Amino acid sequence: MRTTKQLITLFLFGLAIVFQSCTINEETIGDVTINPGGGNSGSDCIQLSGEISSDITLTSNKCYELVGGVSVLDGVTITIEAGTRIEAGQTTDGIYSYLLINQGAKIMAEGTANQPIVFTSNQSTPNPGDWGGLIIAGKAPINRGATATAEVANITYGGTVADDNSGVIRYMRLEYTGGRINADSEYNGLSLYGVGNGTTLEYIQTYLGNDDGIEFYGGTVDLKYAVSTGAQDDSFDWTDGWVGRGQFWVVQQTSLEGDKGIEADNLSSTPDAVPFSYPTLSNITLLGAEDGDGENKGIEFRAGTKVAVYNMIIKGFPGKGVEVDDDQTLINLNNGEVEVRNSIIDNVNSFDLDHGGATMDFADFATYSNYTLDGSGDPFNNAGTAIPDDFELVGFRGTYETNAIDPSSINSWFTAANYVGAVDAANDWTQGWVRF
Amino acid sequence: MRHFLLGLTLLFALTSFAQNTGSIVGKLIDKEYNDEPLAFGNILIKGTTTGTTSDFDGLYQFEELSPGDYTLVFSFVGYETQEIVVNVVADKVTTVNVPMSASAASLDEVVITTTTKRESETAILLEQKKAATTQTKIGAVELSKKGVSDVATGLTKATGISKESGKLYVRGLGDRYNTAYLNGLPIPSLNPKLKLLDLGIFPTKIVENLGIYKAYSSSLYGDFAGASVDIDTKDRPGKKLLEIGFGSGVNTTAISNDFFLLDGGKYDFFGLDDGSRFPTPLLDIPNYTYNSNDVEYYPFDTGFNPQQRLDGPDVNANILLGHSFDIGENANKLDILFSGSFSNGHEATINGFETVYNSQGELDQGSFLFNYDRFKYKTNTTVLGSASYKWNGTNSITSTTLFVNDTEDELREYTGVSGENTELNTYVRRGTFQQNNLFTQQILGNHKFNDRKYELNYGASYNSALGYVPDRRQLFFSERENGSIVLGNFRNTNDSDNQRFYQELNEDDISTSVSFDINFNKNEDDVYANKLTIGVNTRSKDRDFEAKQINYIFDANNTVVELNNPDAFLNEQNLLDDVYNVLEVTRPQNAYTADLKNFASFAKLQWQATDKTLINAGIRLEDFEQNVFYKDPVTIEDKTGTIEDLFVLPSLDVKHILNEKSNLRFAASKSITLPLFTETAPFLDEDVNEFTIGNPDLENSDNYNVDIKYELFPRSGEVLSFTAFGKYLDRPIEKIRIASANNNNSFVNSDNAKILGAEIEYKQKLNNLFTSEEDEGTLSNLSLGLNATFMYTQVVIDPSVTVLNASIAPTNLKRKLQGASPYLFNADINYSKEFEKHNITATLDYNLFGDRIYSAGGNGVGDIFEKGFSTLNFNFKDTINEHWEIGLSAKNILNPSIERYQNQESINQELTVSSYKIGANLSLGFTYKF
Repeated sequence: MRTTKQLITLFLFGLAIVFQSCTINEETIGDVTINPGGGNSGSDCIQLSGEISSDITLTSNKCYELVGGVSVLDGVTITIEAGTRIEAGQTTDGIYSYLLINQGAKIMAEGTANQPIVFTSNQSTPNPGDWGGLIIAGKAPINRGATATAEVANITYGGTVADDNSGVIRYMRLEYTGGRINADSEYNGLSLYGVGNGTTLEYIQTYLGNDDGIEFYGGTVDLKYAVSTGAQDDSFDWTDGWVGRGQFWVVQQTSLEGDKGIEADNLSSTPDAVPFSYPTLSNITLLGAEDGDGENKGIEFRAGTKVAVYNMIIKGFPGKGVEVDDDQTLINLNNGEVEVRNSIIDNVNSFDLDHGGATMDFADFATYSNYTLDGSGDPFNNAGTAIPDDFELVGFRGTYETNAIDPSSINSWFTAANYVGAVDAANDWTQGWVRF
Repeated sequence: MRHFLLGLTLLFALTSFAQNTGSIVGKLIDKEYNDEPLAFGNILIKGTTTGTTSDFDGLYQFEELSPGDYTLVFSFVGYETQEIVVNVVADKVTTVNVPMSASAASLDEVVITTTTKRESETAILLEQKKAATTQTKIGAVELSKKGVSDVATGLTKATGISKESGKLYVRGLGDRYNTAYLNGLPIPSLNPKLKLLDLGIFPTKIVENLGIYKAYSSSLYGDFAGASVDIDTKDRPGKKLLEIGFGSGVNTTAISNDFFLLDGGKYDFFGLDDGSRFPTPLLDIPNYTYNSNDVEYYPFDTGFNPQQRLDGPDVNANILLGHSFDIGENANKLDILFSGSFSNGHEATINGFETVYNSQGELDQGSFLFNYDRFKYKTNTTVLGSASYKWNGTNSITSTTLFVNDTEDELREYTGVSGENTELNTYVRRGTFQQNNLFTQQILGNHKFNDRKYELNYGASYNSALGYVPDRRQLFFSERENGSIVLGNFRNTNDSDNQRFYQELNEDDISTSVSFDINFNKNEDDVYANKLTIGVNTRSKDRDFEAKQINYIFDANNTVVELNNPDAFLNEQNLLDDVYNVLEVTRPQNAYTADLKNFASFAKLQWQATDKTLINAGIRLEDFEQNVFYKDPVTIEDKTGTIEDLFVLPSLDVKHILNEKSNLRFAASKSITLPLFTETAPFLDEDVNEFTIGNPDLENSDNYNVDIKYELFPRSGEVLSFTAFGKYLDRPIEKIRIASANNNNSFVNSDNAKILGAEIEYKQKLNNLFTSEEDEGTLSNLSLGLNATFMYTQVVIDPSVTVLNASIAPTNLKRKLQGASPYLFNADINYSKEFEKHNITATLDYNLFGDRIYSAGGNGVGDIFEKGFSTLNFNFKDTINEHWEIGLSAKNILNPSIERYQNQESINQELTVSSYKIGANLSLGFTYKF
């Protein structure tokens, strides 16, 4: 190691050179070379930056690059053709690029199974966290306040328009997301802030993101056919009073890093905030992995959420399969407002109430028709329903019909799928557009 | 206005109801300093133990003396001692005014007159002029008596002032509402989030006195609501002065436990960073964010292992030297004074507690429940130099130079659990070194013309302030099921858990002040009754702020380390081998510049309306502009946030003399409170535990202030006063939780705030408590001081206010003002006695406050209160002959647990969220005067 004094001298010399150019691509400290790996030089793509204030269409015959925060303003529609590729990275001054659909703006992004729309890293050796992510802000109700600001400063979300329409997304892949918003937080692959149920979200995959895969911050939007692969934090996440529906969700953790399959909150600071998060989910497959910490969980219901889940498979998480945490969530559980039914918890620790000395007189959950490894596991189970031998998964593909429920009988939004699990091998909706 | 309060003590005490006794009163005049009153001069009746001290107005008195001759001995450090024989006549007051100077004054300058009571009333009127407005002063002697070593602590001895987490509260009004001046000129803050400089950086050694203005006067800057504090530095050496002192002490907790800090530089003992903390040059390259992948080079000289260092006892040393030179024949003087001091200190907390609960009283999912140890090593180096030239008795020019270097090195070691896993431990280590520098150069001038009919005062001040955090270091550790400890917090992985942070704030603050007094309307005593003052103040401030952060990136699930040796992993080789990486995450919005310009003019009229009524009326105009230049966080475009306004601020201060012993005072004013630079710019400030975002719609508040004070001066050295005060703050600025995904706070103009309060001040000599006779027994050496403040405060928040289109989410729409205690109580008992060569003073002082809001809750989480506690300090001083002074002090003797609780009304519980003790401080010091 050099002495500080030598370095400063060398540095001053270096600085004199640096000042002459705006961007450094290669610089030296003495005989040590600084070779920045970032930057976006060499891209032939059309650059999008700043605010988009009139309607725009991105066409599949060109490629596009997001430079810094790109925000679509109120009243403006961004249309993205099937097969369009959009690259993103960070700017020279360290801003991670993202695409924001503001309140009142729309995204019309309808890909197809053969021609999905792909948002990905602009790096030749891509890594999770290379760019920000896709953010949609809507006007549907949230429970933090009438309106709120998002993790990204200056973005407003929430309101009173339950059927607010932020557009249509079909067949979209969001890769290598999770750049830093600021020093303390990172982008999710897809962040849904107060998005209303006039919006259509189907066939969406997040692939290797540095933070959560898809997160709901309140709102009423529904999500069907979604895959979260290799999210380094939670694969799906909800908070702030989300009351939408979900069907055909797949979580694939990797051994690299991950946390929970689903992290489900009402509101951390205020577990009884209204409206309560209260989604209904069906046909969910959560596949865990051991990443070294031994604590990855399948699903954690906490901070006062309510929920009804049907036809779920949880497998391979080293931590808990389903965990219920916090007083308010336990109250909800006892009131029959936290339900896991018709599900297979193929996990060492199937159920857990992580609550010091909770002694609640739970209601009778004997009718919940769940299977667990050893046939036990209060409170979501009735005794003696160990997982049948003929249950089998190949990757995330595989379903099981015994004891399943047809969700379309619960609510007409759901597609009829009288089986447990997200992907029926005989009818694989992930074919063609999902990346592994 | 210089001195008044104690002066009244004397003047109203002139009435003597006892028969057949007489009294002596008089005034000490400082020949070395423009014939100003000489405070704290000693007057002794020779051959007795009866003595007294002149007050701020140079006034002294002896009461109820039997008729006859007395020899008075007048003395003051560095001045010639004088003996004067005085004849006391029954039922009469003998006035002895004595000019004091470094060289022997000729006795014929001493004016001795004997007056009847009626004439003494004239003397009262004469002094009223000086006591025209409402203010309080604490002098060096009182500070010394109570063993106070810094200005911030000194201020808490005054009525209605308290300190909370290093911030000053006056009548419940916190940082934003108070301003500080040095010799009448404003001084900048060193903390970007605070308006008021931490006055703890000023040692009392350099203080002549502290002026506290709780009523607004037009000569003060209009950004006023609680108080303006003026630190008057020493500039009078007397004839010749050389004094050296040294001392040592311990903090009971720090000395009885192993003391740890993170590593640092070579000169840390002295509070000088040697540059090894900042990783030059990688964070200094323009347009480059450091990424260790880009460069095969290890830039760090410091690590993350706790080390036992800088432990041992506290030490301090100081020197005070001065000389007064006679220049020419007209007794012109050049006074030179130099003061230098260094002190260090240790503080420790063992097993403190800290947590965050949600609105249902459970550990918040995203938070921790920690026990922690905290170690602090502090230093303060202060150099003050002043040169003052005085000529013709009517002119003076003073140059004051001040440099303060104040540092704090802190290590916190947290152990606890997280909301994510309440069974296995999470650990956090955080070390912060902070260096604050203040350099001030001031020139002050005073000239009197035309037989003192006109007086010109002017001053200019240049301040350069640096707030520097060169290397804050933080690591998380997590315990796994198998008992091993891995680096990072895998339960809620966040790259910034493990980081280094750098911050630098530079501020230049230039202010000028010119005022001109016109005295007019001489009364029958040939004294001007009225005065008109006109003046101009300018202030120009520039700030440059920059913060940088680098995060440590590694496999947060599998990196097994020893808790006290993470450097075994976070070392040079592993960085070069890319086993871990560091990544700078500085964003454009982490830097900003700001400026402020204020051009103010004012006029004040002091008008003797009747024999008993003195009216001070003033008006001030401020042409104000404040700009913050920052980058928009979304578009990265340059943005400017501006506040520009013209403020018109009237003030009135009326004094009415009820009788010879009591006054009634009334003050009313309008003032304003301005937002801080950072509060008006919508960029996100990412602090440790909270995010704060500025509000571009934020405006100043208008404050309406009323004070009514009744004061009674029963006898010499005794005061009883009652004050009622009321304030109405229109659209006050309040920090508030806004609805946001990452729980941001912001600042809004809330609807209004009301403050109603009462203050009582009581100083009593114990010998006079039960008798009107002069008691020569033990009690005559004892005096008691009490002051108490009672307050009702209420803030009303308008729930429809939005910040950047987001709703606000305060838990309570009506609550107490943050930092306002319903009551504050100070008491001290003092014993002073002279015997043989000794002059001893012992003081026990006690402070108590009622529970106050520490931070306002949001999203249903209750307000966090600081629980009231008691502080008890003891100080003993013995002055032995002319040379030695020995001081012994014990501070925070009770060492109470300092606790905060969340007042969760929804579940009717008070949940303790923080508790710690800071230990008692014991110290012994010696001073030798040559």
